[in-house]
Amino acid sequence: MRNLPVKGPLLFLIMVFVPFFLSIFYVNLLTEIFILGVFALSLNILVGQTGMVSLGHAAFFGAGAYAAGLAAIHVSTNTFLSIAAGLLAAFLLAVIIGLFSTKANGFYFLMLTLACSQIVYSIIYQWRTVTGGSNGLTGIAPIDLGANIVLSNQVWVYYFILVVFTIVLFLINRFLHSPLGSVLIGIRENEERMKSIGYNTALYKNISFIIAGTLGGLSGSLYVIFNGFISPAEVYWTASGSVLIMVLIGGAGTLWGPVIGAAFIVILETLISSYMENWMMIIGAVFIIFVIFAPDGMVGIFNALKKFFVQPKKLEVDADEPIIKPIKQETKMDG
Amino acid sequence: MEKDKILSLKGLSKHFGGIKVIEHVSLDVTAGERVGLIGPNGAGKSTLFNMIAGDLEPSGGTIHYYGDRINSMPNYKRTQKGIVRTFQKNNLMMGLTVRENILLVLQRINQKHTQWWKQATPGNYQLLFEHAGSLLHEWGLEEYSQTKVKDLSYGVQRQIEMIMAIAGNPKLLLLDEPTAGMSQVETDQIISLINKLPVEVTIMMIEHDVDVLFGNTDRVIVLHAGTLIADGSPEQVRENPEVKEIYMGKEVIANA
Ligand SMILES: Nc1ncnc2c1ncn2[C@@H]1O[C@H](COP(=O)(O)OP(=O)(O)O)[C@@H](O)[C@H]1O
Ligand SMILES: [Mg+2]
Repeated sequence: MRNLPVKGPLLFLIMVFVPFFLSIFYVNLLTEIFILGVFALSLNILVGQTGMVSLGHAAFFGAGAYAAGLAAIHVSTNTFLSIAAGLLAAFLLAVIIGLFSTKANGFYFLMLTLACSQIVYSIIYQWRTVTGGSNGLTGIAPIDLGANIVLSNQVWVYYFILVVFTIVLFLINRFLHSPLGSVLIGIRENEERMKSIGYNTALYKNISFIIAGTLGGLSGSLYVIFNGFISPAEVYWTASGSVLIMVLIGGAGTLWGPVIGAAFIVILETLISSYMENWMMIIGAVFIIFVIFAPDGMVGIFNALKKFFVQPKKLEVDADEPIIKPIKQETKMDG
Repeated sequence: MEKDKILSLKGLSKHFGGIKVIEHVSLDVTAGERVGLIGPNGAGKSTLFNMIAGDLEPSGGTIHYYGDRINSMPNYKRTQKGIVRTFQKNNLMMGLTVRENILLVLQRINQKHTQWWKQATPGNYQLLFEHAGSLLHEWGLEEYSQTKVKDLSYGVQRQIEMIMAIAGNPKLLLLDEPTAGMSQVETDQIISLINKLPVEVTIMMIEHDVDVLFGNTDRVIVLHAGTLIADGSPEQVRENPEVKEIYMGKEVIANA
């Protein structure tokens, strides 16, 4: 998983040639996977890396999408302006929500993020004159890259989003195991101990929240560039639940897990929703199966299989028991 | 000689509900001193450390560190200023490797902890990794460098606690029963490594093995039921009738 720099370029090259072989239906499917991949990658910083389980991440997707759409309608159709507006809106929202939600832990954090995102949802839903209310934001013109390069062709949109996705993946690959990234991992492992070794954990939890929220806004603005439309449904709490499931099914805390989870859910949704109304129910069932049988997600299954088949010799040593056996020892005293 | 006074407690108290766990404890510690802290189980020793380290807020009294009142300073800031502690019960990032735990301390000391644009690999952070390696070498634990802490024995985890404290550039080092639950060999090793620390490091150590403590400190403080009942050289404290009473009488010596 960590040697992305070696495998990454090959994968990127394959993706560059995909539009030559697959129909536009599949190209659009891949575009959607990349967009939701960025969304899931952003939530993974919070959930997988810092250990803060949020059920309100759709608020940032929505903030990014609406801000990007509004910028395109009212200011200019320049892509970079739209994305900048989306990033800024999500950043500001993350600063505000982060300020008080990161003070809570565990279940209370989850409930607070859920409540905040539902407030964002109802503002969007009710502020008809600006957001179009339940009809969504319509009339977003095709986005251009400046210098009259209009992204009207879906294949060009695919390429543009592929590039953004690749940059995000590249940066997150570095960030995940960077010194700052390991501070977040340390907080996930033992926040009190991190304070004791000199880290202002409240600050780092806020930083994590802001990075995750801002990147969530990026995915929202990509969605608007791709779709030309955004509705409150994408900001509803079920959207937050869906991206959380992507992270958990794929493999929280890993680099590729969220992307794999996003691909899995997008493909599943496409397959099921064409002949079933309640596809969310199926996804819920799949999720429960994962929680019970594969808590480390698809990346966890993949690693286990790799261990089993690729390194059969090492297995004798690696199996079940650690080499150094933990000695169960009673501490005599209370702490 | 105010500036030599690294720590000064005045009338320090801690009450949990109606229970007075620490009651009016006053003491001064001079920079470079090696102070032992003893007392029966439940005397309030760990609670005293918790207040000095900022993990518990005092109910009354003051804590001064190098002359500054630090009563309301958060624990992480005290650590940044050199008050570094270990815990009576192992308290580590259990899912991370030994080296990752140590690097979390070293990267902060070396002001690298806000860097996000490159992976923490030996190539990118050569000095940090070398430092972590040399600490592990000194303690004879290199073989565990890449092992997750949760897969190690309690005694080895205990040593990792010590390494992390020492890696944190302590000025005032608070060791809460560093040898608890360790074999004799491990205990001897820990004590000899503590004695090798730079002379300017001030150490306060809670220790239940009275012999170990008396042989390796300049000064011994005795806590009993939340109050300070003796404070002096190991010889003085050994001869103190009240201390003798507690340790020879009906009371059980901690871990006896
Ligand atoms: N957070 C707490 N709440 C209530 N009582 C506590 C708390 N922490 C410690 N105590 C009590 O304070 C007393 C002293 O505890 P402690 O400082 O751990 O003693 P020592 O380290 O000397 O063995 C014990 O009786 C313990 O039960
Ligand atoms: Mg104790």
